[in-house]
Amino acid sequence: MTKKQLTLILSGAFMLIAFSIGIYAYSNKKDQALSQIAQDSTSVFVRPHSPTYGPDTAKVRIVEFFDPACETCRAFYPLVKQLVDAQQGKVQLVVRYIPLHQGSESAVRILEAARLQNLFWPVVQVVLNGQPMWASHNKPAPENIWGFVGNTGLDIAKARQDVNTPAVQSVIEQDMADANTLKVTRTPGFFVNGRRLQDFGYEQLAALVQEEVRKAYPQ
Amino acid sequence: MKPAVLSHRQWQCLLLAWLVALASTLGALFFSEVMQFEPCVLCWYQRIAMFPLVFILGVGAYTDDAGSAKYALPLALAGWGAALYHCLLYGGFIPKGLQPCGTGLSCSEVKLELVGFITIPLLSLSAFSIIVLLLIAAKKDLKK
Repeated sequence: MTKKQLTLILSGAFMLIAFSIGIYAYSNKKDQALSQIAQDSTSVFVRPHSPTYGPDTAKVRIVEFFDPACETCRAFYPLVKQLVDAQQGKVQLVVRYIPLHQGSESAVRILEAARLQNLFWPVVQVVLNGQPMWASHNKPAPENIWGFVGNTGLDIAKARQDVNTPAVQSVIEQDMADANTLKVTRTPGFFVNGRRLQDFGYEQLAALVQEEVRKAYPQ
Repeated sequence: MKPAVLSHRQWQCLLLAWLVALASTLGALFFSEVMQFEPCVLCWYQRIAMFPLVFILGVGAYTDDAGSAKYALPLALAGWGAALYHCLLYGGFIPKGLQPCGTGLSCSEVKLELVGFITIPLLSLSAFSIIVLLLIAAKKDLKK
């Protein structure tokens, strides 16, 4: 190898190393900033309107970007609730809407109307149970949801008025805007104390929650 | 005919031009992949000109091939033109109605400003200018 070639390779390698250090430093800084933001009571991760499950005093917060028409969200729903229950007050679940499927925006409007009557959790349960009946991907029929929510105690007349209010519209827009900021493009999208679930799966989510619990509640 | 042998000064020009192209390429990738700024159409035209320069100039400098400056110069000039256009658009010298962008992303929206005036198109224009000057210097030497 000539001296010229050596110079070339060394200077190229130097650039690549500098580039890698740059990436590492930048993503580190960004992760820290996100974790910091996730501590706030109002942020891109949680808004005052967001439904929560588990105590507000919990130091670990799972944020789930949720689409009621998404089968994986349906499958995760009992699992995530179990994760919260198993940690006995240390973990809270925050639900954010991200209606990506056709017809799921109407379903989200019904969930939001239910939340206004403090009935989000019973209604989301029946909406998910009935998912096969309203959320077919080629022919969604979210109108069918009204048929199953009768015995949740929901004031249907009031809810039917609420679904089309600008307040409900702005909640959906806010959640979609936050999903966009956080680059959530698939559902369910999970964050635990601001840390994105990179490698998707239940085991991975449970491990991330466990890790954050250990950090927040040192023995 | 054997390719002309590079003088030491020419080789230095090629090496520097290569380093500028490499830094610009890595910088562009940093903006889009790490900072997640989506490149607009004009940015893509500049990338199309910049990315191959890394390989043309790199191979040229590695194999001591004087011809590489000749092949790289048109690419560098094309990129320089796109960067100049983009800077004029940013600066408001070209009316926004003329911009060749689709519905998605605006080429005239300023995404990043360092020290108040350094924008991404300005960085690109500077990089292309340096590369063009270095390549012209390398070619000039060749004729002597």
